[in-house]
Amino acid sequence: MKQVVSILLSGCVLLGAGPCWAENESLAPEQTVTVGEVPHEEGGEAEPIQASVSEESAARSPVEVVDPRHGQPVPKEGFPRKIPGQNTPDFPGYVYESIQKIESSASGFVAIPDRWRMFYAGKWFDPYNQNILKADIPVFGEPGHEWFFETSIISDSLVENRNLPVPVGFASTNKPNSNDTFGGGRQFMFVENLITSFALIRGNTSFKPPEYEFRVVPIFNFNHVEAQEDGALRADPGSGNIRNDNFVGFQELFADVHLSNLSDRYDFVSSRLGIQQFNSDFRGFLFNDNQPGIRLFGNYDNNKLQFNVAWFSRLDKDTNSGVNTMFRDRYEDVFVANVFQQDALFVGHTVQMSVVHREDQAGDQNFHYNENNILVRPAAIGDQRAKNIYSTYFGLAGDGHVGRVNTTTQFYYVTGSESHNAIANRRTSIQAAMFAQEFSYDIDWVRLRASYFWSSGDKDPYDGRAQGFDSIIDSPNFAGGDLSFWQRQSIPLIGGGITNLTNRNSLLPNFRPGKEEGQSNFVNPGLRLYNAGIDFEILPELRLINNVSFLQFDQVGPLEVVRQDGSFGRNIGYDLSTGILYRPFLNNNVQVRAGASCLVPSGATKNLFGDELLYSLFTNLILQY
Amino acid sequence: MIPTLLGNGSLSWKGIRASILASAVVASSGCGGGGGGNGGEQSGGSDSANFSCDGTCANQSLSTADVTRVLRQAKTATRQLGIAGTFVVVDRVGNVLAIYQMAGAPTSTTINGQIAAQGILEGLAVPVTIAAISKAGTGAYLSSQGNAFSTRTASQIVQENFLPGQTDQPGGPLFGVQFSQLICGDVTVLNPSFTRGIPFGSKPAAGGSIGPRPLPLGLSADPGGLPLYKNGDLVGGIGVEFDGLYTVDRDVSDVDDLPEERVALAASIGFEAPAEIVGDNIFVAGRSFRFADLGYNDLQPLPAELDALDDTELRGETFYADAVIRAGSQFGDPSSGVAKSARAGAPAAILVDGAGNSRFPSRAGPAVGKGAQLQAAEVEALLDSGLLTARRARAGIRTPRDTPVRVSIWIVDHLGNPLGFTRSDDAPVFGIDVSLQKARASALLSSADAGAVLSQAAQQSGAFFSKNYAAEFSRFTQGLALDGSIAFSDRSIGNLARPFFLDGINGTANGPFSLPFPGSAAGRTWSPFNTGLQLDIVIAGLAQPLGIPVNPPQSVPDNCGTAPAFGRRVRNGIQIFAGAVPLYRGNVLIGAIGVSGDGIDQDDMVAFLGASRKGLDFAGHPDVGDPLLGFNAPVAIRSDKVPLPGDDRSLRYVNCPEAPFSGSNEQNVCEGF
Repeated sequence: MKQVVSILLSGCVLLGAGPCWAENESLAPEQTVTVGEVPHEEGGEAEPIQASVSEESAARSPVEVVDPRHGQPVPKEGFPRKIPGQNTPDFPGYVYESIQKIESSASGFVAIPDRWRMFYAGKWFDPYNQNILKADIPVFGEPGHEWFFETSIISDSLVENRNLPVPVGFASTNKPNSNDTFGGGRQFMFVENLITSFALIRGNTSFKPPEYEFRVVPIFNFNHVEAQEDGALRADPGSGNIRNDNFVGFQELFADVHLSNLSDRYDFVSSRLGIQQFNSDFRGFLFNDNQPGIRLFGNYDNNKLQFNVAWFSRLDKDTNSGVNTMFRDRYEDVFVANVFQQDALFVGHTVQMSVVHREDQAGDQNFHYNENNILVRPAAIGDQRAKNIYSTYFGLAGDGHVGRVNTTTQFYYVTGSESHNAIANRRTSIQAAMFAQEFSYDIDWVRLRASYFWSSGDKDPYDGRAQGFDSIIDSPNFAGGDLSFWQRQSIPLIGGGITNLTNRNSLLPNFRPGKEEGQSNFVNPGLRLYNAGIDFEILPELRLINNVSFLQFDQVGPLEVVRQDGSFGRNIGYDLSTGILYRPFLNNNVQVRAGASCLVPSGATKNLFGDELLYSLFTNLILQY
Repeated sequence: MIPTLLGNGSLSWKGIRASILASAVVASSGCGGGGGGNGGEQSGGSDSANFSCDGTCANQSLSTADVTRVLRQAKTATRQLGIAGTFVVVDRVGNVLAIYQMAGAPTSTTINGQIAAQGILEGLAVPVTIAAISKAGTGAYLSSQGNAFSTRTASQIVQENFLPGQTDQPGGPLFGVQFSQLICGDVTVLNPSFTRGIPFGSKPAAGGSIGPRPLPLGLSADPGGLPLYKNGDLVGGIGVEFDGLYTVDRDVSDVDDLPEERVALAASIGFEAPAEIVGDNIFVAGRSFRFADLGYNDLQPLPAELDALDDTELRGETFYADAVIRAGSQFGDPSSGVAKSARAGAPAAILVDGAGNSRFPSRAGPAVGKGAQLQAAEVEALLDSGLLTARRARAGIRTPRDTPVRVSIWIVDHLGNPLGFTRSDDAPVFGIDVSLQKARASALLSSADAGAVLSQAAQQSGAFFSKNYAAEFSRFTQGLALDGSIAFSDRSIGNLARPFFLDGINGTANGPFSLPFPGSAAGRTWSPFNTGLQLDIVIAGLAQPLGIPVNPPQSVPDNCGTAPAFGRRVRNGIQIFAGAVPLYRGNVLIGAIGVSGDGIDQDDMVAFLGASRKGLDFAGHPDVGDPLLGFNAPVAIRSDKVPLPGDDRSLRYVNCPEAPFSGSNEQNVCEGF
């Protein structure tokens, strides 16, 4: 066990952060049990011995393992494993390692007391075999209540070139002879995210719900952007056209407590408290984020029915990293209740019904400027008066397949109120909806896709009814997802306020100055998207994903108002994108994603930004341990 | 924060909309009021905006009965508040139709920018009557058939950040506009009937209703001044003053309940601005304007029987009015001083004197170098080009959307002398004076002797000049001189005339033509009432008619640039926001073109494209001006080449707007000219 401890200690040093569990009282070096080459003891009992570390003995040093049948200490002998063709493994151990092995001579099978002894135990850096850092082997605990430790490190590196509409700096420019509104839009971005994850899990993982899980996921972000225009990256044009920023935050920080099992097949109810990933639907159209909250979840009827009941109180995000702040309140609460029914309507098709209520009370707070000193709450649009939002979403969704046709469906209707909409210049009553449908069909190594997305637009911005659909914090995977230009890039609403037409990883043209820090706005033009795609599984390691989408605004009224321009047509243009996903080792330890996309502008985009081709090129390297 | 009577209620605009809707039902114009079907749909409100009339319909003027009604409503509403006040009604060209001061009303009000600034005007007590004239005039001057703005709107657009109260946002788009319409200028027309024998030199003067009339404190940003509309036509303005504070609204995030605004709204009942065109429904760069923080529904209902007027409470004011109620002028009629005309096949307007003659017929400039001067035909071509550029462009501050830009356009020579003037029909009146101020700013600072003139003026003006701005410019630019080597657009001048450089970045030091923000330095500091170079040039000419330093004044200066060094180059002052470029023949400065009346980007474009080859060709003058540049400055000497402190940073020369032309998606239209 000294070996294990040294590994853990080295892990602490290696990672340089997070709790150093070697100091955990139940795993102090002197308490651990020696492991090692223990000879196979012949002629044991016919059934496995249930052994445990008595609490009394656990408190002593060194720990003694007691056979409960007779109360005598179990000889300190490890469990010898023999796997054909392999040497006897050097098995990192824990208390269990001393359990005597009983062999069933009648069957010829080797009985093993627990499943984590079945395979080769690899080195600490080897995630493919039994690894104590990957929750394959318990680190401590009693039989049936083992504690596992899981760690992972992901390096996510992004290099991106893009051409966006960008205004020339208002008060100064780095480019003399700029006589007009639109300046150079080419930008380069490099982002490195180092995501570390540490979890302690009690329970027989995979086979039944864990009893406890404590997870900490610190993320270390560095981001670098170069723009052509001063003022494109920060409010102060004097800060130049290069921005370096970094941030550290928690993407997950939660405790998960198993509350009860509802059936012999481990239908269960569990609770999770803290910062946790949550997606309110199949494709992330409404609320898909890592936020602090309390969530009750579980399943029923042999897992055919699943549910979530949750309350999230949102943290504000750091502007340039998109990482959770430590711990600045966003003043927005989200209440979710949803239920999934498997094999609904069709076998292999899951239906979800959900109610999501949001109360955004940031309007009661002071003005909020983002890290680039740009006013984001309220948005610098319209009369810029503060607002609170109370909205309730009713969702109906489906996902699965009907025969050989894969399908996903999402419908939301939202009702509620904005205490003051800055464009409508009054209190508004929210009445908006969205609908998304995708079909796909696989022919051998080719997948054909067709999808449609609609978010309602507001026809009359002034009428007190806000009919433009907006999400809470969406991050959809639809119609090309982040491979597509429209969804990937944040497009500034130049001449229509110091805000964005659309935001990164969102389909919605909602005029929010940032998806995370900005508030929802239900006076927006809405979107119609018609998409066709074709994916090729060129190699087992390589997938090629191609999409073409035609985009339209649903209503142009809000655009006409904020741009003081009555000549808007609906058509945004064609979004063409292609991308690859390359997994050279057929696993997720090394992934390369790359994409190229462009928006070929139609009338509305030309009126907004001109006829220049807007494009985006990116390469994303993900290394994972 | 403005002192309020009832605190900050959460008041909505429903009130004003509902009320306007109600009044709209009553309103019906003899000349097609209600042409705004489209606008009505957009705002969900009134049909009353009279988009077809352009302010020139018969009978669309304030009668004495109308003025009386406005005053009675004001008096009644003020009495309901248990206080007494002073009210002024003006017509669209600034003729003061009545000054009414209730018994017991405060007689003076104190200028205070509420940021503890040190300046000549800061803390100055002035008669309530002149404050009310400026407020009423502002309501009338900033508005048009396509936009209704108030003094509250003005407050939003003249402060160091837009919106005021926010940080790291550039200054108000009309930064500095408050110091226009001055009595000492050569655009505003004095009424000799009211001068009481005080001499006014060669200051333009005419009796009757010939406007535009001066506003004693310039444009006002103190809430309590509103435009008055009659059957959807702009006919004048109402100004209310009684709270003893002549100021700006520093915090626009709250909802003020300001008694002066309450009374002004009550006074305007029956003469409300149409809902479609109030500032709240007009977006500039995505931000809407604020017309009033109260709505008509928030007002205490007026009794059926309004308080009667007491003739003894009518006041006169030297230079502005006698103690009588007059009827307003018919805007567009020669008797208003702004007469309809046509230019290049487009409706236009000119300024006329009492005899109906054009006050500023196009003429040639003086000889500059060898045949470099502007010829009269070239002035005409430039005016044509500007007017037609405006006409094809999409208005930035008007409804219905996609109507043409309406502006006033001046051509001046290199010494700031007017060479020609035109204006679009229905352009707001304030722009007549402002566009000339802009042109003069560009001409002055682009001149070879600009540095010398400013240095001499600083010496000649004594305490009126806060500092030697030419020396400040050299220090700021680390050695550059104002010696004619730089062609200054007014946008660039504005960049340098902000209390922060870069504009709006709070906490930075002031630009060389401005003053330190209060708290950052000792001595004179910036406020909306102390703008630096701009105010220092005109302060003596502004103050003297107010009785400072000698009361009553011995004369009215006929030149706002009172320092002898200025000559007549800044006769109505200068302006420090975008909308003017200097004019050149080769490398020789021959004048400037100034434009005002729409959004500042639109003003910029009309000036720049108007002077360019593109604009001249469009207007049918392909043979006028340089084959490549028209009359625009050589690219190499434009002010966006001035090296500034900090690396790689330039001023802006002009900023032409996004998608500027109606019916076209053309972008970056000024590139390469």
